[in-house]
Amino acid sequence: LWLALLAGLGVRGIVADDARYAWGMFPYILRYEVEYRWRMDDGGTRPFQPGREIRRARAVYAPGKEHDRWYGLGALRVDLRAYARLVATRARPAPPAGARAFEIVLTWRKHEDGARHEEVIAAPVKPRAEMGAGT
Amino acid sequence: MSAWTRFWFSRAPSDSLALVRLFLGLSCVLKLTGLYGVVNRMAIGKLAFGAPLHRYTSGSWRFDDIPVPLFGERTTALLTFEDYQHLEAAALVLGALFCLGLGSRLVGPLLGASLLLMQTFDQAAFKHHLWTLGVACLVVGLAPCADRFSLDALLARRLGARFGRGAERAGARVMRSVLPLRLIQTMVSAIYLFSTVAKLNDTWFSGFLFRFGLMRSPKSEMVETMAAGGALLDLLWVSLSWAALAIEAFLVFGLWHPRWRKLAFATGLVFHVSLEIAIDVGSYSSTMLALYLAFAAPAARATTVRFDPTRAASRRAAWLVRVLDWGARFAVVPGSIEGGVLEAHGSEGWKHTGARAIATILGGLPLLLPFGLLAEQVLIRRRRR
Repeated sequence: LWLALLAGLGVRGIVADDARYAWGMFPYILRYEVEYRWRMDDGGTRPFQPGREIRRARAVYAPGKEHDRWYGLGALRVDLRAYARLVATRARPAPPAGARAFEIVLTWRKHEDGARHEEVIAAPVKPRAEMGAGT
Repeated sequence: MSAWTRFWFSRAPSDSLALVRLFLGLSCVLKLTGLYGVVNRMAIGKLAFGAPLHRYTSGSWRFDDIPVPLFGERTTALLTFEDYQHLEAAALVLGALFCLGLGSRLVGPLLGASLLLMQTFDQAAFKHHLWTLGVACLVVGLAPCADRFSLDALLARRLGARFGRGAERAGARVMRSVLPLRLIQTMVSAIYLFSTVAKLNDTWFSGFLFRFGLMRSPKSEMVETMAAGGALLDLLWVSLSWAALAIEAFLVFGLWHPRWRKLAFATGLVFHVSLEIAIDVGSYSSTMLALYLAFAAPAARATTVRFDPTRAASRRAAWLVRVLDWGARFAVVPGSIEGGVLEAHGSEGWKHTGARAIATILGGLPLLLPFGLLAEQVLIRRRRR
């Protein structure tokens, strides 16, 4: 059981490219930038600027500047998905009328001079009736 | 009994596990008070001490007051800032008690649980070294790990002597299941294995990580001066990367083989001390070195060191062995010796005299282990000639 646990943690880390709990110590430094936007019902987008919620986490989530990440692309995706869900589902400030989803445009590269990749992480906006008064 | 069952469940002296406990507790105290990576953090101007340090709450990624779940699924956080700080303070006290070996059967599991619970604070709370330390403390703490080098053992002996029970066991070897040691040993190999596998990529081979890590720090000027030029600097980064990879790959297996074990200990010691000086790796180095002790043959007093009480040099050498014998491997006794200052007698019947005895003894003293290895190599080469 112990050996299976150790192997499972390590293999999960390799497969998910998420070094956390997997002892995949610092294989590369991920350099990335993020941009935030609302996806509207008509297919258009509207920019989103983070507020006070990231004041303790600007080193990870601040848009428009390059950040470093040591635990792998998988770990970063987990963190960004969490933030996307948080913004898309919170009631205050409420998503703009007609917003279908909250999207994070992630641009990353593994080398200093490596190829740049872009992907979009999205979280659907909750219908207004489902949103409570709090977060 | 099959080899598999024997491997996991045979019995062995409890000395090694007790030493692992002692040094894990120490590693915990050093980490939580900021007494780690002193040379590195002095160089980059980030040296800070406190008790406890509360380092990770000040650098948290928590979205203001909104809890951010560890894996992005939970909607409420387990711990508040205050909980985290209380937990850190508790872990510091528990770490000190674990090191001293007081109430170890209760303290050990609580310490492991505290360290692991701290990891659930938020996504930024995860650190490889704290995760490793937490798992190790839990494994060791759940086992009887205070038979030696502990206040528990001392109190048991004193009380036993007072009430006429167990006094004859003072200083005796206690045999326990080898299972906790095996769990730690396999974990050490898994750590090095997955760390090695993760580094098998072009970024690591190119030396970029070292260039990035060291050249962005205030130490960069010093490094550039040392390497004196770009081409040499690139060679340095690539060499460091390959050396680290080779060392970690060697340590996956080297610690298991009796023939390679001493070399693996010495290599690992140099590797982790270098890491401690060059990069901020938290308690990683001290924890790994503590875990190495699980591989140390549990052979308390298995070697008898004989000294000549009529000669001052021999008496002084015997005193030095007693002082530096932190692993309690030697029984130092007076007697007649054939030559030199000390003689080493093994429980298997072997006898070493002169320089060979000195090499054997040095190899058993943690502080002087590298000199022991060196002396052994010199003697082997001389014999070949």
